[in-house]
Amino acid sequence: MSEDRQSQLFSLFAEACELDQQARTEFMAGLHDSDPGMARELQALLAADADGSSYALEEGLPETLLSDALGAVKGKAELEAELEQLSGWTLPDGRFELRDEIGHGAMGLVRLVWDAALQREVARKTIRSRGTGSTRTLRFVSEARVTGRLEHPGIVPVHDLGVDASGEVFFTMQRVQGRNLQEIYALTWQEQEGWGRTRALGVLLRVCEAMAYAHAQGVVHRDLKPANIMVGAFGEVYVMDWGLARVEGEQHPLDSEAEGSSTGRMTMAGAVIGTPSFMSPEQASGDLEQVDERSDVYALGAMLYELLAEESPYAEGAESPESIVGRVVAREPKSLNLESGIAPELVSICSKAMARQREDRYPTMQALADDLRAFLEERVVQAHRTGAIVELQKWVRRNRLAAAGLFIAFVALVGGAITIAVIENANAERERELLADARQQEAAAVAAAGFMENLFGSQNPYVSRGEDAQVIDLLNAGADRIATDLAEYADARARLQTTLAGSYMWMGQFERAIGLFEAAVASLDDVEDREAAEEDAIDLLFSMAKIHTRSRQLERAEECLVQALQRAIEFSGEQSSLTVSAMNNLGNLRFMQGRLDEAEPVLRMAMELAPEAHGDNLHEIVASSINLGQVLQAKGQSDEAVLIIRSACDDLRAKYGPRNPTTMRASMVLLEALYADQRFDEAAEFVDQLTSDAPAVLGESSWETLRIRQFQILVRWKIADPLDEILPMQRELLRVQGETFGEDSAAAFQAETNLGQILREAGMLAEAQELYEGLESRSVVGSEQAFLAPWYLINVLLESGEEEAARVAAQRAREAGEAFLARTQSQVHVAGTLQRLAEAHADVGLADDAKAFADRLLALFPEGSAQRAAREEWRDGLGR
Amino acid sequence: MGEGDGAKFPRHVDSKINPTQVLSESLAGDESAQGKLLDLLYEDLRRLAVARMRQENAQHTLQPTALVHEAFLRLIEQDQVDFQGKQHFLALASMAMRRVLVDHARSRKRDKRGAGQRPDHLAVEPAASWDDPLRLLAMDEALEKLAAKNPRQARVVELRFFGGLSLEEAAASLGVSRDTVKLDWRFARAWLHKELGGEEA
Repeated sequence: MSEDRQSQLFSLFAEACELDQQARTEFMAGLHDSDPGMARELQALLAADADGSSYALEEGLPETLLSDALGAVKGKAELEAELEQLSGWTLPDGRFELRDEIGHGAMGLVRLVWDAALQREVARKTIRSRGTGSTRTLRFVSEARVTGRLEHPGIVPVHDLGVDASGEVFFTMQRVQGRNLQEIYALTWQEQEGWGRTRALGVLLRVCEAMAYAHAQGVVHRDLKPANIMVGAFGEVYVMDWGLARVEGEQHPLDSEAEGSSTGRMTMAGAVIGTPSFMSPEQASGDLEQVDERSDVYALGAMLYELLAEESPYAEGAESPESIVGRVVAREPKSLNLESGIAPELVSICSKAMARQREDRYPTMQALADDLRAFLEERVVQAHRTGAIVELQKWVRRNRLAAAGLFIAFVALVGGAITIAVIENANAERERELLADARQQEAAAVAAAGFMENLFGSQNPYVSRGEDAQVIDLLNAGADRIATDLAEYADARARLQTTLAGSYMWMGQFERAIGLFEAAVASLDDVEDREAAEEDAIDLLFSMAKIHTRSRQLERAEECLVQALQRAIEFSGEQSSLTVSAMNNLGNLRFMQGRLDEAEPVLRMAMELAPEAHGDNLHEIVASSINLGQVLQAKGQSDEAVLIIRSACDDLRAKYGPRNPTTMRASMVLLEALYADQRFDEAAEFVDQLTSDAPAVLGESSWETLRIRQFQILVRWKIADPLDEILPMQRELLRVQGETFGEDSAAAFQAETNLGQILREAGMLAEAQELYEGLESRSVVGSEQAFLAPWYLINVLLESGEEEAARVAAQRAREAGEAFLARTQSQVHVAGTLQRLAEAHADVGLADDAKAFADRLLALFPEGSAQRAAREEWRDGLGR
Repeated sequence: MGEGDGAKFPRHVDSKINPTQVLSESLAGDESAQGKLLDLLYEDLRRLAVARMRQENAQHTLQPTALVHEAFLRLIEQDQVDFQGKQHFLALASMAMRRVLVDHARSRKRDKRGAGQRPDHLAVEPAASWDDPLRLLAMDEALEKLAAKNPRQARVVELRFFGGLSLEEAAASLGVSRDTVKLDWRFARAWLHKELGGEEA
């Protein structure tokens, strides 16, 4: 389009903008007739003008972009200018007194000097430069500045940068005494001076951490290699030689030259930038734009490779640097030999770090550090507790993508199977022991890894078909094969079985979980290290008991706990925390079963042993007291119950203060005990305080908070607070319970029956009757509620003088009661129900039926026992 | 300008060039002076930004408007330059800003293959933004084209978009009315959108 037409377009645009919609259409039509080309052009412009997205120009520039662009500092020219400036800061002659030469490389000379001003020895690095503009000088200055900018214990601090009186550019830094990692590697391979592979790995981990910091500062080192790592005499690790480092958004003085070179290689005057053996493929191929923090990750991997293989990657035969560069670009290094006792996890970490494609490497140095640390600390991702299923899924996925990921996932899953201790002190003998131990476990790990490989590899039909294997199928296949495939490695076997059992548990497959837990306990019996194995076995038995309890298999739960108790006593004696915990669990289970007489002695013993066994762990100590108190209360021995619980409460309050969850839960139990013992005044002393503290400490609407509120209402009702205060409180509580736990929940049911009781006492019989009838109609057949609702109703009807209706209600209560009795396993519930039925039948004048129920109740207690005697008295008083 | 301000931004040390004088020469139509001033501004904007970022450490947000105005305060002896001189300076600073940004986008375009940090499994490309160096470069190119045909409209974009100048400032700088700038801006906006193929549509 000519200039004329363009300005014509602008005029037309201006004109059209002034027009309203209709006028514009006419205008366009006219234009179309006279100059269709121009009309199309204008139409497009007007459309763009109307299109909101054309306003992108209005957004303006992102502020960050502006910062980035302007902050991309230090072009070569600028550095040169600054160097000019540097020479203006010449330091006074004689400040640095030359001492020994510490080292020298191709680029610089490091000398020990005495800083007369600060009165200390420092390392002083210099470069003989031919004029300040030379690339070497620029690189040197860049090194000083980059290093000076990084403040990290793993990076040597730079003190000064300047030009001395003789025109020499220098910088000073902290003096590091020690050896470089290359020398340390040599010691490691010879197992000299306390250096072993594990300790050397510790050094690499420190390098990772320092580099993770540098990367976070936007600095990529680009020349990581063992020779550039210093290890101080006291274990300090320093990453040195930052002369090639590139700062994000800045151009390194060498890069432009390298880029400008004809080959595009990072070669300059015959020198390769970086060190070929440790250089990533992208760096070796001179693709500078591709070099980022993952190139450092590669270098770290190569350093790990050298440590493990005892030679650097691509090192076979003496080669020129150029030929190594060629090989780095061309192919992978010789693979690490698993046979030589290298842990498979390390091989896997190494190959992931050294992946040819950057995308396949660890995305960050931190991620590499995490895996190394996990390996070293044996801490390993907590797949055990945090969701093995997810881990498994990831595992399967990763395995299908890359075999290398398998071992890492394996470590995650098997957890502590591989123990390698970090040995800080050079105790050679201990180290050898640990290493031997580690080797043995490595063998187990190799076997376990092989097992996993089979499981998730080609032999699994799901995986080989490329389908998404269902976790449950994989679990099943694995569970079936652990015992045979890992027959020789009891420890690894037990751990895998435990992990799989845990997975089943989360999936609700309790029977399978139990089967594997049992298998794991059996595996632990084969483990040589008894101490750890016994403890693990007891833990497993506790877990099994928990599953059985949850699925209402109380007898099987008891079997597990009895076995746990026997093992605990046998293994660690009576006065051990394991034993006491087992007793406590067992006592609690018997309490749940209503076997109060059997629960009591176990809990008494637990309470006696607890202070000795648990030391100053008051939570554990108090647990058995509270349990015992509840048992005693259920047995009707309220005095002693209150005594024990109160003393536990006092101890807790003294140690943790009143507003502590444990203290408050114990106080709640005390409240219940006092209420059951009809000691309302004592309860009233602290119930208000407890109620007002509860929401903040125990949660706004936790069941405990609401239960405490319920007791507050009941206590106030009993100490005769006015009903017009009590009733609304109880109604409100009922509403909250229903809202929180559902209207058909046990909590809401309890609140509603309590409301009915209050209504009855207040003489509001019609409403009470309606309430209980409603409850009865909503209750589930065979439940305790189905029995209790008509049972409460009987009293209301009797008070209303409706004796016939009361008898009918009693009949319904009887039927529902029998249904409940047939279902319940709890002795306490059985006794309570029989007692209520006997009393109700006596109340409605059915004396024979009352007596029959009473006899059934008595039969529960041994003849001649005090409990029986007390109940005989009660039976004889029925109906009088 | 008080002494405090002077200390905050040390004047440019290059004694060979006097920015104020170059500005006057440029204003008088000396094209080589304009080039010199542009180079000076280019360097200065970068220095200024670096200084700003060091001062403000973590949170550095830079507004083009603030930067070009600060450059003016810093480089030019205020009492020797009139209103028109200032507008001329701001126009040049906008050009310098454009150069800085375009250069940066060029270098980032090279880096882009190595950007790396962006997850590569994103199914949906994020909406185009000026952060995308390719988009900024395309815009620069289109602006060149526009300048060949409607130079004033292109200058308006430069002043407004790259220099962050207000309508009034742009009008003063170009010596035209506010309404003219407004219409220029509207036209350029639509034209660039069309030229860039409505790529964000």
